[in-house]
Amino acid sequence: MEHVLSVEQVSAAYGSIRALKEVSLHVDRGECVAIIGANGAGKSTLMKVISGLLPASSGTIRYEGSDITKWPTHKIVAAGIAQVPEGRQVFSELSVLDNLKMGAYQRKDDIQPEIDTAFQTFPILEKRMHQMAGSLSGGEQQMLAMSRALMSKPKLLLLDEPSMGLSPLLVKTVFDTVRRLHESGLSIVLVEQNARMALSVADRLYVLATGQIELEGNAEELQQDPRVRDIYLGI
Amino acid sequence: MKNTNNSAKVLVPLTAGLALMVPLFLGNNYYYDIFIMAGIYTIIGSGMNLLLGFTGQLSMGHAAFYGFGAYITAIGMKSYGLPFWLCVILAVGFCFAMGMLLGSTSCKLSGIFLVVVTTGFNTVVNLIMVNWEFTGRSFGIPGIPKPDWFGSPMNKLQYCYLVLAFVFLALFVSYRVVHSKTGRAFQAMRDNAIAARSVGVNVNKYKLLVFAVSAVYAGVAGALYASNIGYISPTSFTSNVSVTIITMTVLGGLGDLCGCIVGAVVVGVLMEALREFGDYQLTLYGVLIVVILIFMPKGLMGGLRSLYRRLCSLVSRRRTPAKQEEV
Repeated sequence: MEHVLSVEQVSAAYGSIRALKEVSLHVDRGECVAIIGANGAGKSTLMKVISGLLPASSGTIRYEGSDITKWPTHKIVAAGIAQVPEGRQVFSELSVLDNLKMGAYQRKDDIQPEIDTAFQTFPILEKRMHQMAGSLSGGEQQMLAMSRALMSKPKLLLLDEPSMGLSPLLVKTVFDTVRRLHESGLSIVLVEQNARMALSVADRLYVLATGQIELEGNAEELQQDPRVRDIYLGI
Repeated sequence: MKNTNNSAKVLVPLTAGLALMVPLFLGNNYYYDIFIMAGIYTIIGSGMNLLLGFTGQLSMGHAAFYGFGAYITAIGMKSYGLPFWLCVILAVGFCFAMGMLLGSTSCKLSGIFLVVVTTGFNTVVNLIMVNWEFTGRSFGIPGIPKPDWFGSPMNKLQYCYLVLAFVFLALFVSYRVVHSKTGRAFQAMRDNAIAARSVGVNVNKYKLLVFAVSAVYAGVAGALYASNIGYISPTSFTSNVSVTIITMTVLGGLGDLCGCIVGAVVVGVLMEALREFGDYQLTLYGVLIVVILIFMPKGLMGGLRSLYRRLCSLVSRRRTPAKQEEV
């Protein structure tokens, strides 16, 4: 089966600190792949490298057959990879509506259908349409960040810790949305510390530890794996 | 939201009309000059506002661009006999290129580091003005002519309107930029550079572009300054002047298109009023910025706007009970 995204032997570093050591992974079309790991395992670094925010020091990243390793972020976004950065990075002094419009920044066609979809998915955003994004609650900001990423009509969605700092109820809402997007056929890479939630939506799972892939496999299989159960699920 | 739009529909033509009337009543050269300087500051301030207010980059080098515009006009008109408008075009081109050059540092640097680099740029440019034969050394360039108006040099009143035309143009361009998709991208960059990158904004390209555009504003202001004052010297383009430019932008209100008008007029008048204090003016500007930022974080214009809103709500509160009585 054709890979939408394949990461081959990618390393990355912050100065002399090597955050990723020859990581390889792939995402098939329509697949939801979760990457779990402890703090400092390199999960977010991996996301930044894929989206071009951080240059890879070695290795290759392929997206739909083309080598995107050296591409600038705006070109990667244009190619169809959207990203929800870690920690609800909304434009706090722009209105909710303007935030959504920014998500469709590179599109030239009519964006109203996607705005409608966003408001249908998260009705609270419609109520807050003209409010400044900085005045939203944490959960609302996360919904906005996700909706904004979807405004570009991506083929691959990168989600960096969507559950971070949210109440259990909101975590459920967010993951229900992820599940729905997955069912609609979108390819998703999901980075999470909340391994239980990640396992519940993902098809496959990679476990990242100290910048290396430690385990990989089907979500169902790994759920039974004693190492995953011990360390990440705490059962 | 709608309320401000409606009041803008009244206020914009009103202010423009007022600005068009004022020169007719000034009547003496001293007041003409204050008016012209306020206009020149408005132009340079709206450029700084694009840079600092809308994209959050601080340049301490804008007096250098102001200087480029002034020197190009002075040398072009006096030594080469070029017409004024051609000098303005040359100034625009040169400042755009130099703005790109200085702006390229802003792609790598931000905050205090950008301040240091741009201050250095201003100082180097100023030292060149002081030491180069071509720019008249520390003595400067005297005898810069006025632009021609149908064969004769412009008088002060006509010059007021020339400046005003450029002010309208500058504000119009700013308005169009800010309310476009590009303008939204500028503000997105200021708010959150990582998120802006992640939605596909080419942040480095826009940083360069906005630097160059705001340098052009300063260059045009410089050209208008040189031809009006007739004599320029390097002291008018030191980094102290850059501080003044930033002061009026902050004073007026960052990210507020009308702010730079208020800031320019207030600083322009203050500079005249405090002329006898000379270098102590800078101390006052420092104090002013601190006071403004504490009490009116959105500048004078922001203060005015919230005052206006408070008045509106006060009026509507008074009206509502009155209506109830009628019923």
